[in-house]
Amino acid sequence: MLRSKWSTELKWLSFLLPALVFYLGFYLVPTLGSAYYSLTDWDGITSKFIGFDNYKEMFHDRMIVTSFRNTVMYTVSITVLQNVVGLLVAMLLVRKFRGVNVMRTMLFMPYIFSTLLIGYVWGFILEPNIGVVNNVLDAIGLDAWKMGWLSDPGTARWMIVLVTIWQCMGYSMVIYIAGLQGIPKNLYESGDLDGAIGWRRFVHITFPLVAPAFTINIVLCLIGNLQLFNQIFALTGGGPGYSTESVATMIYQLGFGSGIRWGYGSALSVTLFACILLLTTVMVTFLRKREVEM
Amino acid sequence: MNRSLSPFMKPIGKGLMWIVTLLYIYPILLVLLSAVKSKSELAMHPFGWPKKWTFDAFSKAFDTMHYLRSLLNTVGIAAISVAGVVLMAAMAAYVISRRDNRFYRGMYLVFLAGMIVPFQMAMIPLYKVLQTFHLINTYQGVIFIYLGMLAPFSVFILSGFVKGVPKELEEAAFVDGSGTYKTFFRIVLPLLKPAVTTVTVLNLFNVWNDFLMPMLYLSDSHKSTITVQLSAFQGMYNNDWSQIFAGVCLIVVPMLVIYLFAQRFIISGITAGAVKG
Repeated sequence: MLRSKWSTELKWLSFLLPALVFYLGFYLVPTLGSAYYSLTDWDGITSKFIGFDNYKEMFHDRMIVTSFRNTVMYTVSITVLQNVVGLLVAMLLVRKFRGVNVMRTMLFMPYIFSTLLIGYVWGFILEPNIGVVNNVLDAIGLDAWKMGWLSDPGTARWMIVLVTIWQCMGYSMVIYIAGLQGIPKNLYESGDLDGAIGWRRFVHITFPLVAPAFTINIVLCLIGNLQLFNQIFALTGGGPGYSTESVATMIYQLGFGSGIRWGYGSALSVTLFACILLLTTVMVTFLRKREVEM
Repeated sequence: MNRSLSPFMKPIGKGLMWIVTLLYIYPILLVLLSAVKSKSELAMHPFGWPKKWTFDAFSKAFDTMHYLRSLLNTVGIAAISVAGVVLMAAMAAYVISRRDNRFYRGMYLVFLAGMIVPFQMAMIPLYKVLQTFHLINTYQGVIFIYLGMLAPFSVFILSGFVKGVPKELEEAAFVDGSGTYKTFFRIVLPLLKPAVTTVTVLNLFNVWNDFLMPMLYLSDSHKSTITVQLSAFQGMYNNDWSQIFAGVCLIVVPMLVIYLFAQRFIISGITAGAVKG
């Protein structure tokens, strides 16, 4: 009897093992190895244990500090704008009217395309000489506003933000539409009787009831944007100088770009992971609690 | 929901949405029209309808990207990794949601953890792992990493769906003497078909659009994928926009077709966790 119980358990375990082996062996365990590498000065060939020197160096490294500041800027502005726009668009497109399906299909479409390719296309649109934006400004007499959209650091950062929102807004929209469709109609009807219309209807009925969609959108945005990479790689390559680098692109630079400093890069990636883990845990806890209260 | 906006706002909202939609149609149109212009026409007249349609850019992009070769590489890598990961993840998701004990709940969390690991954190150590096993510049190396990398997301989505499959059918099958494997493959997997389609399509997009991983670990130009080919090309001739856009079309069209056919499954996968929270 005991033996057959064991063999049943083993059978069940055999369902888990294939996925677990590849996941642990080719992803999670090597990744955790970063924690060890971050304490060494590994350059791909030689490696020496140096304690926390990499972490100490990071705080004085102007490139790293800039990349952290940029990452915060990207994450906050993309998360906020993408959710505001995504929710607004969802509220407009949750209704049935002619063309609504075409609109939803078009607005979600960029999400399935490679970010790299989207970066090339927007790079062309923002190109200073033959790009659409500058030429349109020229044509309508606003040539004073013409500029190198990707060569001025401050503007380039905002272009990265806008292109990311352009690509990912549809994803938030789809989640918000599903949330809005789940709101029972009679809530609005009884809201009408209580005088909850317009803005008050939004604050007291709509927004509290899309709380689960809001939670998931915010959390996904945070996780994704803290590791923002492709958009920067395709649009500016981190430049001009290092002014648009994010933490993720910095790790790439340290690992496979200009200088091969794998120990230092690992320290940076461990720090990034710690930030993502902390922020995700805090936000999930906070937003879940808020869902219940509302 | 048609009462959520005042009647006065309705036409404004609709008009606004058409403008937003144009912001999405225009770049796509721009790519198509630029790809059928000649290089010199695009430089002179970047906008508007092409004066002379030419497919030169396509045939050039076809050659520079080694299109057939790299398409075959991409399709092969994508097919094996996605089929493998979906099958393994479906099995894992099945046992995780059916065997509700502490071990499997812990395993679920282990998989979930992978969803917040940035690829940049895995990038350097994975290079080392592939080097150790002599898998740099091999298809197997890249496929193995995809099998691991895509597992968390696939297990997460699929285990949500397994919970929605009624247990009674399996129990009946067990009573009839059907073994665990047979029950899974004959009863559970067919019932999971919509979820499996969803996860397959989303993973397929992921692999198809990925360029960083194959660029780092599969740099041999005979073995590289289409997106990597285009990025190498873009780096060399970054002013030949009509050829770049022809290349963009060649990469995007297969996914666009899948998107238009499988839209329902994509949306259901994305919203799976959203509504119930």
